[in-house]
Amino acid sequence: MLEYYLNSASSYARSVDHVILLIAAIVGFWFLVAEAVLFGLIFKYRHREGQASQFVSGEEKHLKRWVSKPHQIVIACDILIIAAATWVWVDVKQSLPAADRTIRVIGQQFSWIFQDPGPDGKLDTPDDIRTVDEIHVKVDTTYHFEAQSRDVVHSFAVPSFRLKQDTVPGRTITGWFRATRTGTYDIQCTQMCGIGHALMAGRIIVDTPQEHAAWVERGGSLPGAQTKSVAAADPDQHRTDIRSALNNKAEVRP
Amino acid sequence: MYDLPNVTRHTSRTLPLAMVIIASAMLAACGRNASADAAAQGREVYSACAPCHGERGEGWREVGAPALGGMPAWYIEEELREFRSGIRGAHPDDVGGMRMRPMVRGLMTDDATKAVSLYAASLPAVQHPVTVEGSAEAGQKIYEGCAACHGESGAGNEDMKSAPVTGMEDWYLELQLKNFRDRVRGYHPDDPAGTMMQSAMEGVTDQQIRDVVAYIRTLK
Repeated sequence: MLEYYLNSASSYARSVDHVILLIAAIVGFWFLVAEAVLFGLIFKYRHREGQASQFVSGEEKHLKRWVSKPHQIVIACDILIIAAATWVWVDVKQSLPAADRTIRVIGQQFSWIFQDPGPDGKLDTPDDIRTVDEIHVKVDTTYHFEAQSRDVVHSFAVPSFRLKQDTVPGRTITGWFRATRTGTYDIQCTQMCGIGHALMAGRIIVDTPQEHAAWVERGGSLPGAQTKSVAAADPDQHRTDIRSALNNKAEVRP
Repeated sequence: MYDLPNVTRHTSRTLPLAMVIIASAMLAACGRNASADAAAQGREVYSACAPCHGERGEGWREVGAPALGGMPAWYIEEELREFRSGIRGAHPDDVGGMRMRPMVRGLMTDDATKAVSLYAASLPAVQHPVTVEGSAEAGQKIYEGCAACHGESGAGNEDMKSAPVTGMEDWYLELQLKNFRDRVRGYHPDDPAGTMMQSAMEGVTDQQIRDVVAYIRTLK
């Protein structure tokens, strides 16, 4: 049923959903019980002709039970929820499965910058592919991401992956995901970061291995489209060119 | 039970009155000056720009927002168009541009772009402080190469889409010239003016940029 209503495209999306479902079921059940008791008592002790009202202090043992028993049940349910949530938290946030590929995610007001390691698979080498607001990843591949920020706190959130990670200036926070379904998914900043926060969106495109290889081959550009990705990825090649050109010119200048 | 005939009588009395009021309102709306409407729209849209560019278009250097007051409307509109289409502000090193682009992309239609450009252009030009040190004398010689497009007076040229450099803040000029040189701006295939600017800036040193900025500052 969940699959029908919720788009999920990562290996841990379902376990996050299950925690939410567990909480909804427990809270929902006790909500219904509490409402039934409330309305049942209202009905049972409704106004009747000739019957005087009585003052109930709630101090007797058999009355206190109405508070203490539900209290104990709530605590037991809390422990159950915390245990389930911790189980998922450890899987999503505390453990770091070995990476097949590592990308960098940099937040800045009000755009996302991505750095893919390019053909050599290593970050911070000249063949890296840098894009703005759009990143391609390979399906069924474990990615590490290094989340950074250029200015203020942002949050890299991919709802379909059930992934949410703050990016904090001055820190590199490593996380992981494994996309399980091809397609295009939304990215939205989920940490109030300034006037353009609501407009700080992006796309994560999950490719088949062939599509991804072709994307890497093209240096990140989209086929035939003069998009921001083309613009973002290409100039870096030129940058190296122009730097060497400038160095050469500097040598001939007096 | 309510009295149906009474209601009918009541409606028959008030309907013509309502029609007269509605018709008068429509006539009044038609009679309004179209440019006044555009100015009102421009002012309204500008409220999203004011937090960075200032209520009076005075700019805010710390967030990379240049002053808009005194800039011609065509230039502002052209830049907004470039931001909207991703010609500008989509390079990973264009920090200010990437801050601007989502704002433009998310908030505007063609009409709104035009209206807000007109409004921003109507804001008063202000005197900018000197923040870039350079030799205006050396810059004058360099500017000879720029004058063909940007004009002797630096007023720019709408047909050539060459920016009006007079009146721009020096820090903004320096930053944008470096952006063109470093291919952070003007790389897009749909940006012929930018491409031209980029090739013009090829190999220009930081000192030369500061000098030409110092000279542009002297232009009136």
